[in-house]
Amino acid sequence: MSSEPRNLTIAEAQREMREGHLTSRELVSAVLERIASRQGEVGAFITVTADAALEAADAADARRRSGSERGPLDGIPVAIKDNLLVEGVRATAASKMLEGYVASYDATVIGRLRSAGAVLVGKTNLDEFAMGSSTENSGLGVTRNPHDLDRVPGGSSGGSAAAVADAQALAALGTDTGGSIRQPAAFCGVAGFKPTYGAVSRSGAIALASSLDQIGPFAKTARDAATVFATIAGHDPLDATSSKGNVAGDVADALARGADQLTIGIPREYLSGDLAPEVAKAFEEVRAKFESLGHKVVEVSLPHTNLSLACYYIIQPAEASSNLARYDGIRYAPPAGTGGSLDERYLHARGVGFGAETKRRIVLGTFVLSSGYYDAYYGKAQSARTLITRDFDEAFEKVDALLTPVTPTTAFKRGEKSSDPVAMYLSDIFTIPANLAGLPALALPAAPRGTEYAPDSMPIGFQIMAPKFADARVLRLGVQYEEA
Amino acid sequence: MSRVSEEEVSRLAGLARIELADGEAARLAGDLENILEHVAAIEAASEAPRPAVGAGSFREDEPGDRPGESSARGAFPDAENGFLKVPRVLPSHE
Repeated sequence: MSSEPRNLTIAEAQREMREGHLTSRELVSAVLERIASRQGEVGAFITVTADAALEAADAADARRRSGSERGPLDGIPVAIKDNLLVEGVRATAASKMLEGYVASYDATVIGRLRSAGAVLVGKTNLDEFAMGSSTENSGLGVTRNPHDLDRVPGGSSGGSAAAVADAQALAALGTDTGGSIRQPAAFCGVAGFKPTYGAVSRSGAIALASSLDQIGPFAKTARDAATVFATIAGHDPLDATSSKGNVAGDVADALARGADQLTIGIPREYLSGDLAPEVAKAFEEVRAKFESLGHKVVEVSLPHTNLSLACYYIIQPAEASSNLARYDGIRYAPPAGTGGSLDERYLHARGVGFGAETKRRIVLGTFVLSSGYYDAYYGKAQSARTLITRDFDEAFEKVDALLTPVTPTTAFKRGEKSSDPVAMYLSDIFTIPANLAGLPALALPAAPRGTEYAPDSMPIGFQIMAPKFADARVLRLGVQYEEA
Repeated sequence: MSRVSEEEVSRLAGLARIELADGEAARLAGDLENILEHVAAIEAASEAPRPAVGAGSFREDEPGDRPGESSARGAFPDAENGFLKVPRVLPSHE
């Protein structure tokens, strides 16, 4: 075998297993050994489910021996962000509020991974309740960027991104509310895909901001991300926002068909401002590569882009303050109470159970929804959301897809922005618009797979966006880029 | 737009049922001030209809089994005679 099993892509591992050179037990064992040896430094996981993973790997090997394997994820080790419910396993959302909570059912996406034979290796670290851009807001541990331990992995799905980048899983699931899959994917040098809002069921995801949240995959390649996405996508009666369209089937067709020549727009608003020189240079090379692949690349304008960050940091805290009201210190195995009245128990549990950023956003959300401020903030933000969405609609009348940077800079140092909330929020500036408009968006490393990163040459990502439910187009462009 | 005082933060935290430690209200007031200064950019947005959210695929409201009821009960700290138990809400007149 040319490569250590843990370094294989999903597609390569399947080929090795099909040809009898590798078993799922060997692959899963290699990944578990990697987790054990790197957890102290990288800290990608909150919970590792080694015994259950080996049992599932043996079951996958038995299926393969009997000729009843289940498809491209059968026997493949996958990590799960710890705000997605896996029955019988702790689901903490990296909050002390849920430190003792054990999920009583599988999220729909988990059920679909299990049915496909995927092997769940553990639950990954995140910013508490998925609020943050560095995974420094976790109440349950530190995750570091595997390419430079002094830097953050991004967030909020920092554990999932670090796990895939460091060969501690072949793929992972994350959630993306304002960039929480794409920003850490860019910082860690892996593929991260936020599907169209409604393409993947959110049943069993711990809700943050329900009009923005979406579950999606991390993987080493866009092709692998497409495989995971096709497995978890599709209608679910348990999520009223889930679409009845056949997005997963479209992906399989698109990847089989290969690439068309498309018109790709670059929004000029994304290239002004504080783009780091190395990011600007890498993006220019990405643009040139798409042109060399036969696509027509043109400039477009999204004139309300400058409202995105303000719009997001009103709507997101407003919805979060409402969603997080359920953590009352009574349900979900809360931190030990002090007795007293019901109201005193609420106040105490939420005071000690939530971390600083969570409290900040709940109070901010309560403010923008409160009488006297609602119209000036929340009402205005809703208008802005419509304007931002219309910008995209108009752009997509002229172009098939959009190409942008993912982040203004590469991964920043730990502690660099943790005391300045606004500086931290600015790292999401290019990812937020896709959530506000519900669009599919893929973050992919600009450099080829196998590139060695170092503290002075950290990963740089780029982003592809397309109209709602054109997930297949986004993934196909990503696959074309990485395989050219 | 508006300035947020420490008293206002304490009032909002009370509405959100969050007990603040000493000095936390002052810190939060400073943070909110900075954030609100930044999000004041929203004033520039012209009026537009509010967006509709989601695909809206509703299902019939039919009773059915959801797994995990007993483990959900198990995550609750106290129970009595099959009921979940919380501290007294209304004062006792006995």
